[in-house]
Amino acid sequence: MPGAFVAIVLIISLVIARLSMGKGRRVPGRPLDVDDGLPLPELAQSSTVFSLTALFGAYFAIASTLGLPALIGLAFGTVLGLFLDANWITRRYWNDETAEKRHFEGFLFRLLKDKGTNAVSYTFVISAVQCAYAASELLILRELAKQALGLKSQHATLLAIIVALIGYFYVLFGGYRALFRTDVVQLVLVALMAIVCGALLLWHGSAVGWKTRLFPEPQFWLLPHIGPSRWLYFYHFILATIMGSGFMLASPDTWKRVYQVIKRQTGAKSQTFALIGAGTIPYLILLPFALSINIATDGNVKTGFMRSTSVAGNVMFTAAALGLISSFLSSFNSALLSSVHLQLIQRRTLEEVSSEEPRFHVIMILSFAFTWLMFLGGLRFTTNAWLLGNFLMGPYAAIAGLQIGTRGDLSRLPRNSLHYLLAIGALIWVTYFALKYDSLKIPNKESVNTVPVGVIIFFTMALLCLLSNFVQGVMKRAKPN
Amino acid sequence: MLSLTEIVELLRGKNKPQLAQIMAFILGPGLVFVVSVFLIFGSLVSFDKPAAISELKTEIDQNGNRSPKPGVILITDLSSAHLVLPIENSSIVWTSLDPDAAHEKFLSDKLKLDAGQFLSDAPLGDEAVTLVVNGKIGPDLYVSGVKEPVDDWRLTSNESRSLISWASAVWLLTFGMAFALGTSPVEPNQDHAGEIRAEPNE
Repeated sequence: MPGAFVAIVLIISLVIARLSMGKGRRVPGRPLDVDDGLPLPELAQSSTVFSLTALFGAYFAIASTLGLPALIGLAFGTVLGLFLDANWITRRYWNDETAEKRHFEGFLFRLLKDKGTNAVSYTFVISAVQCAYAASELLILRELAKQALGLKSQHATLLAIIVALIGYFYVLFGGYRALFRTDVVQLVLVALMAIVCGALLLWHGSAVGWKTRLFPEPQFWLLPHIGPSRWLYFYHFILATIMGSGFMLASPDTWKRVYQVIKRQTGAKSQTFALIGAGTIPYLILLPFALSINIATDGNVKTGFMRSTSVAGNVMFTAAALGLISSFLSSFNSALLSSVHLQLIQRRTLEEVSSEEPRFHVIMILSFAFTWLMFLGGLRFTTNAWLLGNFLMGPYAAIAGLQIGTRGDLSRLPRNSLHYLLAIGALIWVTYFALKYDSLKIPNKESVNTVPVGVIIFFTMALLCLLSNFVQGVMKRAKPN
Repeated sequence: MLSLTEIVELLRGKNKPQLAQIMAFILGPGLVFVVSVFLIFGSLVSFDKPAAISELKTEIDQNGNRSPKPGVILITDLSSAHLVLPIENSSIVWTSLDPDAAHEKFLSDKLKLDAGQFLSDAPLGDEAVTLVVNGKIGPDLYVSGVKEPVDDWRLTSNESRSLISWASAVWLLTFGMAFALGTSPVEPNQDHAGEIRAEPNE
């Protein structure tokens, strides 16, 4: 009875969420100001990378089509991103505050306070991207429920909506405590799915040899006049590193988890091992899938790739169902809650109130409704469940470029300039995507080619931020006293 | 399901924090669910189709020799369903109805094979009826004139039914919990004794 096992897991998570309600708040009336009682942030961080959009979407496609150099680049980039986040939080906030005054909301508040419309633009873009990411998770869950679990379209859509609603209630009831605690449960289930499915896939073997899968014939991310050589693989490694680190820099749920790792104060060495472990475990689990599943022989991706081997028998079906739903819930809840938290803090910079509970409720339901509408739009206007995730590559790259270009400090930008910079990045990305839309609207290997363009967006944004900071400095010095 | 009057009663006399709580816990998610179900299943809310289709592809004889033999199995239920399946190169229908009943259905146009289409106007009896038609079906069929993909009418596995049923049950439990919490009194500053307090942000 696979459904019963799924129900048991969902009910356990519901109980955890309910028991977490109202607990651990530093300040009364601040529902998300919770830094204590959040277990195993390192594992929770792995759980974020274990998302359907990232690990089982983009990263899987890159590993399958580009092989080991790109996969190592993604892992390295993820770890690098975690260290950059840790450095940013430590430098910008941790070292400046006394121990009893430190809290994650204080970090966010300092990030956004007195930054004018730059803070509004920053919050708007990141929050919207997080909601879009949550919608992408929904679309992919629905598609995988059809392909891997054999559900009919209507049932898959209903399952996705129901699980999303349950996930919404987890974080509405229990906030960060529910999120971190259920993450541990969900990571165990995802790991179980990965072990069961990975072992089965490796047992059945791949039609193509392992060496060929680890170093496939390069068809994407090509350099002119350079064939398969260490220089081309190094180029793949660099692109994947930028992608992996950008995802960490642009995800506020990652900032929270890294903050929790710093807060544990277990020493530099154990902190280092924690971040390295959190960054690399997901890719070790991805490797057997990338080696065994051939998603495309030519052109279009075989979306039924999991069905033939993964649902053989009740055990496999149960493992796959639990793993997919757990992976979805973990990243969906993280994205939704981090979007809400940023909006809540942004509102606080404009007006402080004694209790933010009503504000929290309103922002939660509006953010969830926005996510749901994007999901419906995705169903209505495209048949490619991975298209939204592919599109989000650009905004993530832009936000990461902004983080690097400003070194995590919005005050380095001229006042009221961020929306213009973001508009430039958006124009480049939307133009590219519109031109390539015909080749992207069905699942296709071409989608990995959006990564190099995303890297261009990343560097463009970083350079624009550095340039505007430089111009601002020059103008300040030139200003007569 | 709450009626409009009950919703108005629920909201009457509530202050802003209470309204926000009710929106977040009850009305918002309830609306999302109801609208979603309506969009997925239409006005006839039924988690399953009134018929199931399975495509046939290969014939194997007792010596293991195989040859392509396209066809389709249609299992109709007792619910009403006017189905039209476009089907190529078909000439014969094999049914679980007895000869008289089959003839009667054919004469009354409840079963028809004609001009590249197979028509079935269920219910065809007082129990489920199985029909086998030779020929190749297309990707779509027509239900009371509305085009739908054949994929949505394939047989549902027990595992899939189990997953949907149990997930729906957990959703009902969750929403029930949320309803109780959503209508509970709003504390001005929700807090628990013994928690760490700190100064608000500067």
